[in-house]
Amino acid sequence: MDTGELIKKCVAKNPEAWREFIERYEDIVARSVRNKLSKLGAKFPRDEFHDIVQEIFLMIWENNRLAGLRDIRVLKNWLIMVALNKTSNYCRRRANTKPPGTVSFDEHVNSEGMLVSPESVIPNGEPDAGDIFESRELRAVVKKATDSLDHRQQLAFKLYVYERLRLKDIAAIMNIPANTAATLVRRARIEVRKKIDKYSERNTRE
Amino acid sequence: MNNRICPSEELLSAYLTGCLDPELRKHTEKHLGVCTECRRLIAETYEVFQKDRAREKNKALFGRIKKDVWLVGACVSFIVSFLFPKYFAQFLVGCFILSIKWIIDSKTTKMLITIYESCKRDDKNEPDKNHSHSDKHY
Repeated sequence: MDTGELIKKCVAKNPEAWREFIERYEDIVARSVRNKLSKLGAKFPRDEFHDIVQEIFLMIWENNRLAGLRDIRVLKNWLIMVALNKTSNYCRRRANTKPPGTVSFDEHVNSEGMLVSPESVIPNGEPDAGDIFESRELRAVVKKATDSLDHRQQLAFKLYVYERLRLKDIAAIMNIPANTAATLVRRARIEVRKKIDKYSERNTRE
Repeated sequence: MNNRICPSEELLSAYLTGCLDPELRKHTEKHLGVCTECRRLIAETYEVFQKDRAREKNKALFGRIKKDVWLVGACVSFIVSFLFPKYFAQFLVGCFILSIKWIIDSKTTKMLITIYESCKRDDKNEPDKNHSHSDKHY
């Protein structure tokens, strides 16, 4: 069955069409869920993993989310996005509904039976207030510098620096040639560096 | 989330697919520049999509190899025949058999065989037809 026709039938809540839709897209949804879980560092039992996948399809069915899709070309990307969002929501919900009396592996219990955070158990060289202030100030300078960039430069720069994407991938996401993406990132870097240099010059003078 | 309304998943996926009009595209890019969550979502979606694409490509490649398994076998046998001169003839015979198997198995050959068989059948039926026609005539 053609995808457009399948979607139309799914919107009309045809059970046969839904069976085919799930069969066709179950793999991609499952892979998206697995990807998100591994990114979050969460390990769920197989049953729970299947629960998440089922919940995603159920949510699409119940809210008739496919009716809102105007372009079939975006279907796959849309499904991945829905799966990623739903998985992170599920993890958030699960973390908030921790059964009472359970102790996480990340938490420690001291000799009095009181919960203490791992940071207090592991000795660490805490930075002094000056360092914290300076790093905060520097972060503010970087933020100001990136905010002042042209919107395309800003997006390319942030995808490159924060999301650690390759220039080729940035070009694909922004739908521009790879050379343009490289130019955008290079110019943005120069701009940001100028602002940071100005800040450090001012600091050394003070 | 930031203090601004994030675009819908449909809009973001349309941006990623490259089917947004320029004005909407500009607005979405502006938002992606400042919203960490949406930017991360876009990056992750792209990553999963690319992985899926690569998987599909691999699947198609394996499918093709599977389809031409006899040809691959024949090529391997041919190459190996030069590597082991002692068994040159054996490997060459193996290569020959596998190539014949590949030729017989290929779709075009199957189609040609079907056409040939149907032609043969027609040839057999034709004299009978002529005969009956002549009978009627006389």
